[in-house]
Amino acid sequence: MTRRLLLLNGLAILAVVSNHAAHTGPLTMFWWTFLYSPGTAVPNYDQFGTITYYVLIAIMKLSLFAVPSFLFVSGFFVSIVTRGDQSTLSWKWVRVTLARLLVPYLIWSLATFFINWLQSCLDVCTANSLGQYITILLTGKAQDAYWYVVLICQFYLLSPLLVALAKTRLRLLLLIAALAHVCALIVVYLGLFVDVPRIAYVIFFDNFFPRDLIYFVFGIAVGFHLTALQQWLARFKWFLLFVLFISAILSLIEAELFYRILGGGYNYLRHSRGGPMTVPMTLYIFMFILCFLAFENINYPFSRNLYQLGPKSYGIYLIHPIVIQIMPKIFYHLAPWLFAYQILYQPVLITISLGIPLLFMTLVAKSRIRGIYRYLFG
Amino acid sequence: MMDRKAVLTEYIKNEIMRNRNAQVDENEDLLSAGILDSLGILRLVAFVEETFGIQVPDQDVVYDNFKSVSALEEYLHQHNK
Repeated sequence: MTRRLLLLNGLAILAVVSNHAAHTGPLTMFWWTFLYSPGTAVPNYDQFGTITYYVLIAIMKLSLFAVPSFLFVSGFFVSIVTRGDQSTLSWKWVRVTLARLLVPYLIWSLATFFINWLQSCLDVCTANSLGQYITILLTGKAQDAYWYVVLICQFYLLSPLLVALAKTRLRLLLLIAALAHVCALIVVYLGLFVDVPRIAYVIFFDNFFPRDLIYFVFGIAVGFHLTALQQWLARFKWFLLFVLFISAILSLIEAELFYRILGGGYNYLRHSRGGPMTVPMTLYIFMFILCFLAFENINYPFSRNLYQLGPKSYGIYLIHPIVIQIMPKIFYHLAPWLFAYQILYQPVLITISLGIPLLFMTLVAKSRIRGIYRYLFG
Repeated sequence: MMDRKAVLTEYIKNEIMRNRNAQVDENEDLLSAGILDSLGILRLVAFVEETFGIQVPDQDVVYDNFKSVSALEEYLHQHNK
């Protein structure tokens, strides 16, 4: 099963790219309508509630297993390092692991700063202050997607403590992680109806670890008790699959209900309707991971390609937001008709957003500068 | 019989480290040195299974078996007995 986690990583990075591509959909459907429907005043919500619109929402929601899967694989890796005679993690290992994550992150964040500065120069060149740039780097806000890097670094920093707890008090650790997750869920549901104190959002959101602790700890726990879990999964796999489908459907229905009851703009749509923090969504994410582990003999379509994507997932993760930032603007000027056909636009954007990072990685790997590959892509 | 240590070292240098000029001592701790990360160890498991035609059980994917080229070679040696 262990090597199949490469496949999970491949699926997860495809889901991440699909999610981010789908998030450009509403912009092109509502605000850029005039490009392919001349004379239309924008924003234009004629495509709201269409099949295309709901397919995009479904992609946004059902792809949200991705980051939890990355965290699960990382937790599982930590268990590999500490199974057997190796009882604890060394700080040297933590330091080296963080460096492997942070150097590429820094490089691509700086690349983003430069691209943003270049874009601003189309009008008047503007740059942030040094302090602002440092804050952006520390909080993972150079690109929306970079919050994950800040998050996973926190988990690796905590991993010596988490492993020690997992080895002696696993149930307590799982309980703490589950409680933190439940608190985050409560904050989300309360936040839909009343004002929640800002401190609650800081603790349970803003790239801080408590909310997602459960996925990393779950990876550690599975790694330590894999044989027992596999026996359990073999008994209940069809039930888990059933719950997966039900939770997926409930996630979509719940999002639509919230939207219809509460209304809201695009930000609301993004964070609540497309967000990961609801009860059905949490269930869906866990069921997705468990079903992946349970049905280990199933061959997925394109599994060979997904296996190849898996090891490159960090490099793709860092580069694809830059591609998604730029490509819609290029289409805007060169092929605006594409936005009228999401069924065509989305696959094209996903293919390019995967293809450019992969091409870049391949070129570097085959060139004389292949020695810096790890610094660029992890 | 192929030199397993050489095969493993070449794979680690060329595919994991992406630097054929790198130096990898057969006793070097691949994890503490940052050579193997989470995906690196998964790739190494896949490579070992495909190249040496064995199935690595999940419970054998532990630090002790993958900490160095020598440790991995020793594991393969034990596995083939």
